[in-house]
Amino acid sequence: MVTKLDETELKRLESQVEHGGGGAWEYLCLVRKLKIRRSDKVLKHGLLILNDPKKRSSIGDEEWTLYEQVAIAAMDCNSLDTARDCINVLSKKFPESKRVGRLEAMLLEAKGCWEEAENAYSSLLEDNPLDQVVHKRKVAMAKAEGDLLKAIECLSKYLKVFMADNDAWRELAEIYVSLQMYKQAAFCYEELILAQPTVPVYHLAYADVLYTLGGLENIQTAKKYYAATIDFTGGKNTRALYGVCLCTAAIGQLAKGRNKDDKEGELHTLAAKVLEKDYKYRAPDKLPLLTSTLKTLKLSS
Amino acid sequence: MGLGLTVGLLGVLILSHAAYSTIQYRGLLKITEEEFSGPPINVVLELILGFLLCMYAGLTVPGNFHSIHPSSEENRIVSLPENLDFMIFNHRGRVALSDSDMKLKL
Amino acid sequence: MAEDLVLDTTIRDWVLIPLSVVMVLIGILRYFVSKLIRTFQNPDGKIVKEGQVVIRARNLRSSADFIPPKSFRARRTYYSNEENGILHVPKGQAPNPQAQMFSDPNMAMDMMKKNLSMIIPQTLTFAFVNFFFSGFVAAKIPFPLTQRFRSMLQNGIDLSTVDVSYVSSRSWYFLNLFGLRGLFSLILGEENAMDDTQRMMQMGGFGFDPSKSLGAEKDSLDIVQHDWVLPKFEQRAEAVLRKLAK
Repeated sequence: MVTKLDETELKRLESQVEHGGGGAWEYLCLVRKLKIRRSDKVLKHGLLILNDPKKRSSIGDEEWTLYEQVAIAAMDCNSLDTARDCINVLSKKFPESKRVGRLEAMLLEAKGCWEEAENAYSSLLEDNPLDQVVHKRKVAMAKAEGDLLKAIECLSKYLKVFMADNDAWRELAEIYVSLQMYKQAAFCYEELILAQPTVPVYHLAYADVLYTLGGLENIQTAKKYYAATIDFTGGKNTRALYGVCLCTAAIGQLAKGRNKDDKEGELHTLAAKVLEKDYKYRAPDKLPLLTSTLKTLKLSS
Repeated sequence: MGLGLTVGLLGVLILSHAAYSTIQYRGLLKITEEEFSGPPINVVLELILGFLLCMYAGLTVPGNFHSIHPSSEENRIVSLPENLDFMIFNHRGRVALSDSDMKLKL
Repeated sequence: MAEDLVLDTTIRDWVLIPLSVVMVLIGILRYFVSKLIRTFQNPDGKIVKEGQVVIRARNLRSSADFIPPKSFRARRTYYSNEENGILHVPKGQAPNPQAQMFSDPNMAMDMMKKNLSMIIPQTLTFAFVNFFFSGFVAAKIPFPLTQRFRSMLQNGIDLSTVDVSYVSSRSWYFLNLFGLRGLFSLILGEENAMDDTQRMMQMGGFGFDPSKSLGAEKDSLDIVQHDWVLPKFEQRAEAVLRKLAK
């Protein structure tokens, strides 16, 4: 989870590193810790460290971790030669290591040799049929080939065994959303909420899915989850604020014919007010857009 | 930091002085053959003072307090980590990023 | 109080120090031998799955209130219905770890290796110490102790008049056996943090039965009262926003 504190720290380090202020190793460590995808920067600064023998020896045993990180970043940036070089160094140091074997297979993947990569992963699985990373790579490969249904199938099979793997649930949810299978996606997000009930991002995504599904009951539920997101983020999440407004408008429309026994909370008016205040502070020139939007939603006072 | 540390040291000094005085007081009582019921009032005051100073130092020197609220500024979760286990390589970066000329020197 | 015993300095040079050195060396030797014969054992897929099921069910139980009632009910049925719930273990099918152990030669082999690296060196060292170093008063600890410690500190000496703070050589062996763990983790790195005492305990708790934890999880899931907390969050969000809007 990337908290606000992490984010500011990352931004600070990033600008410092970009302007040649040093701290590249700390930056790379932070990127690795937060699992953030900054492949171009990792490649650049990682290579700077690896090419300098003095800097390289100063990080000690972490050197090999850095080789791995740079190799993956290089694959992501399509500089396959660099990736090849890194992997060669690693396989010289750790012959017959599974982890290097995975990197080799990933390199095949990056080259687009799907068949060979598939074979490499299968042989890795034969050695250890419970290797989670390899299973996940297979899913990713199916996704990269554009075969989302196969990816879903693989992922469900994986989740049948490793059903407490949050990352996999999240991936499954995202694939379902991209295929517009919202009911299934909602299930996955419920699973994520169960596993980490205080992460607002899951509440938000679940609410989004419910709102998209439509129907009075779903939208009412969605509004509650948007409210939970607001609570967990201290009202700093613009998307959740908009979500509350939209849900209220939709509920108003759907429940028009029926008796209005629903108590009208003032959540949406408050949300609109906070939105306006936020826009006034951060983007004053967009304020008219916001007011007109809120007016069409009949929320603005 | 410097202030907290000095206060803490002072507190420890005061506490040890209180301990020393109590021991002396007990020695005195032994000579006069009276029962020990508790340290004299000025030692108790000294104890309380030392305790407060040590408490202050213990709470300030090691670091600041962090909020435990999930919605506080430092704990607020703004984004999820990228799902790197499932990262794929044939994305548009392949076209956008030119092959950088940096190489690993072997 | 009895007269202080005067210990010969040759006892220090020829019993106390050699004994300690021998213990350390044997510990190191044993570490490397067990490292040599250790096999990396792939965990069994079924056990992994059961562990994951338990984690997921525990998640459901602890944060059930965060999902809508309908979703909760569906999940509870999925976990614990009587026919094919994944937490439901049919009677009589629960595997007996004892039987499993005997049917799986690998497991028996593993146990034997563990024993090899633990019991045999232990007996050998004990015999060795008994043979060479028995019957000495080897050291004196610098503080008095009560009589109860006599069996611990003066093992092998049958004199009740000796002050308890004197340590016999055999007791010194035992003290070393249990007390050198910190030193080993310094010498051999943190991974060697397991000492004999822990290993003994592990032997006792060998028969971990996942089906039992599945059953326990099912029982506690059955009695969970679902109370959806999300409606409360609307009020809480209102309060948050009201503070912000001011």
